[in-house]
Amino acid sequence: MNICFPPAAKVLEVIRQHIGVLAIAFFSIILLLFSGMGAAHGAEKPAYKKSVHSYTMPDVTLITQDGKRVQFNTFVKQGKVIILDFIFGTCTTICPVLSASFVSFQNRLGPDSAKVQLISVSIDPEHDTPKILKEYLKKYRAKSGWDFLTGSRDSINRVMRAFDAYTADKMAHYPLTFVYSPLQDRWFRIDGLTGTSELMYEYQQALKK
Amino acid sequence: MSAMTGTRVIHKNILIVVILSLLSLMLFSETLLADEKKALVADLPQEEALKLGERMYREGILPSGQPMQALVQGDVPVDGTMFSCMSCHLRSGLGSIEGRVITYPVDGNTLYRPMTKAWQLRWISGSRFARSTTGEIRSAYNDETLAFSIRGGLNPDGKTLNYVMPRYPLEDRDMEIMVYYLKNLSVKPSPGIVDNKIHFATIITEEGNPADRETMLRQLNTMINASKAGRSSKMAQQALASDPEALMNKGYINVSLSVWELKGPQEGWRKQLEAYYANDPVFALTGGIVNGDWRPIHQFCEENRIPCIFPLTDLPVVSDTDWYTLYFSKGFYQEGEAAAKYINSVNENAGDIPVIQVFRKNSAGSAAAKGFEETWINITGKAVENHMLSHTGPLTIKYLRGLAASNDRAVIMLWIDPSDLASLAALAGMYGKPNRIFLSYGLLKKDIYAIPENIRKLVYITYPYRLPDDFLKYEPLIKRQLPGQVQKDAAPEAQARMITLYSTVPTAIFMMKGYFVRDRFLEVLDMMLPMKTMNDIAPDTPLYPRISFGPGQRYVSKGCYIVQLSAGPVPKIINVSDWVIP
Repeated sequence: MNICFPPAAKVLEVIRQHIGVLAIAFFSIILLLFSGMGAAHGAEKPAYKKSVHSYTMPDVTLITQDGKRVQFNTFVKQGKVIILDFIFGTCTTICPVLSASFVSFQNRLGPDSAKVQLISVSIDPEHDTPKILKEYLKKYRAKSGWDFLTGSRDSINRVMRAFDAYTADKMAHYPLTFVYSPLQDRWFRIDGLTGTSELMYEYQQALKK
Repeated sequence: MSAMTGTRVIHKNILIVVILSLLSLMLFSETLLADEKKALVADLPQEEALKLGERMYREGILPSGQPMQALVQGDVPVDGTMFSCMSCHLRSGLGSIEGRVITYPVDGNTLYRPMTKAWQLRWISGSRFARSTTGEIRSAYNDETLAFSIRGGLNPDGKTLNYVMPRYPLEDRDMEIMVYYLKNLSVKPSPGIVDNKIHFATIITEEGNPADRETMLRQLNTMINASKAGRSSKMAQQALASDPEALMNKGYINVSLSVWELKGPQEGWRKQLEAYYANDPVFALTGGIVNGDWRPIHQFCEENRIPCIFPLTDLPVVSDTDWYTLYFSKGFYQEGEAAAKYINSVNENAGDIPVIQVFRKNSAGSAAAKGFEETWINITGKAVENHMLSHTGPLTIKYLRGLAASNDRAVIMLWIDPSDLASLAALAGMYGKPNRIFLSYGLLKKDIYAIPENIRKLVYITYPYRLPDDFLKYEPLIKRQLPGQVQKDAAPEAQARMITLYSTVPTAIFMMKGYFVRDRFLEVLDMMLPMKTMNDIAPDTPLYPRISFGPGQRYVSKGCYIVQLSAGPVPKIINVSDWVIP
């Protein structure tokens, strides 16, 4: 019965503290549950389609991020595995993911990254000057062995058509990656965005005879 | 006993009252405390939190200054320096559609409300790519579920988000700032949306070609009236009167326009702009013709975050990062740029070629010279010899001869005025004449046809428009689109540019779909289709063979021909380069 004010406040204070602890415990449990779920979902592979092709490379001159001219058809036949995509410097959604996956792939390969040539071809040659290409690669911290090419509208269109990847409007482009196996002399067309492990897997497939 | 009980009851009652009042006092003080807390976000004033949140959202930089780290596509590490939230969800947070990838809005209004099928249909309607919705309806987010979603990639109903969305393991404090930023992102319409109207202004000066100005103002007025005429039917008017908001949500809105006239020298423009804007807050600026550099208006717009769409100027600010002004082209600068690219494209070792530039002190000549020099240094790493003409009289024969004699291997850029052309002829018979001279059509216009035949082979001209024969096809169209308005003295460039403006701005207003946020206005413009020659005629772009938009791209015409004049008494313009020189 001997209730006076300070103890009452103290009791409530204690309860408040406990509520805090309880809340933290409660949310931690939920967080654990949810992160568990997230992991379970993460185990699922993001889907992509794969097909095999023998594309004919066009004889066009393109320009690298360093302003150097390259013959496209010889550039892709240097005896290395080639991984190629179509992107542009100011792209919103698809290219950042493709490019992040390129650099992550290079990092995963480590010293082996010299065995593979990564090529990005700009589909916005009007805007993508060598200077912009160079800044783009720098932003993604690309290692040597990843070149970003531009050229005349006509040359770019011919390259896109050769890979059956032509879109009249850059914003309508698709998330495509092409892997060339020099030993099998054929191209693998990957339709959809990939993760690092998936790109590694496709690269290893391309190394086989 | 009963009296005792009575006293006890009273005591008990008093006790209850005391405890209750005590409790309520505590609760009250709690609310007071909460209010105080409300003013702070992660121990920061709200303004500060919004700034830090904006930096995370746009630049991918944490409050600590470190880049944000995330995983995309399951196992691809990305950090904020590669791309940020803004890369896909865009500045306004109102999302984007690219190819098959739909990036839903993350503005405060959309996140904190349930996402319904009807909402999705409205959002994707009119998109060129998304034919159907992904059907991912969800409940509304709250602060907790939003944080959960950013970290773990689950929506409020526990469904996994697409793996294109990176998972960001943010610390609690950083997350609080991020969530607060998103909660407030684009929640209110921008200034200039009043009484179901979207309010614009255009800018003019007293000096300059009055016919161009008149053409521009008339065409803008036609646009304003068309915004009303579109709903002139009784039914539409009734619908507008009964439920203007519903129509606005679908993208329909009336447009109004003020004309801001700037007076006196450029130095005084800024003050006048501030005063106009204070009295008459506009959503955006559009069109505009001034006598001089566009820079003061560009800077005013940049600092006040006001979009400025298609000013009729050849003296824009050339910047890779500025956001708010969308230009037709880089103007004179672009011509200089094209000359440098052309020389590089036709010479194996362009860097070995000496280049001399002669330009007038005026803004136009300097802009062309700057465009050349910056591009040349970038491509070849070599310097350019610059001669700025400070005297006011025309270019003399003596001066030109001296120039040519100084280095007979040099390519000479003459960014000069029409009055300087006369002395050019003298170069022809000279010993040690220059091997190539570059002139600008933008600076000289029709006067280039007066270039004498005996030097035409040396002369290359930057030509930033559709070629004359091609442009001729558009004259009937221009007349049709500007009925009774084509001013005899108005430059065809101004008329043709207004047609492009007219076929762009109203579409962009509509494509905002009722999200009348300035950043969104620029974003929908960025996502517009390129305009180019199709079936011989491209009604949207009579002046340029092709214009294209792109996220953050601020100069829609990106090409420039290099041309020469044919022989004969009536010379023709013949292009020696493509429209875009890589």
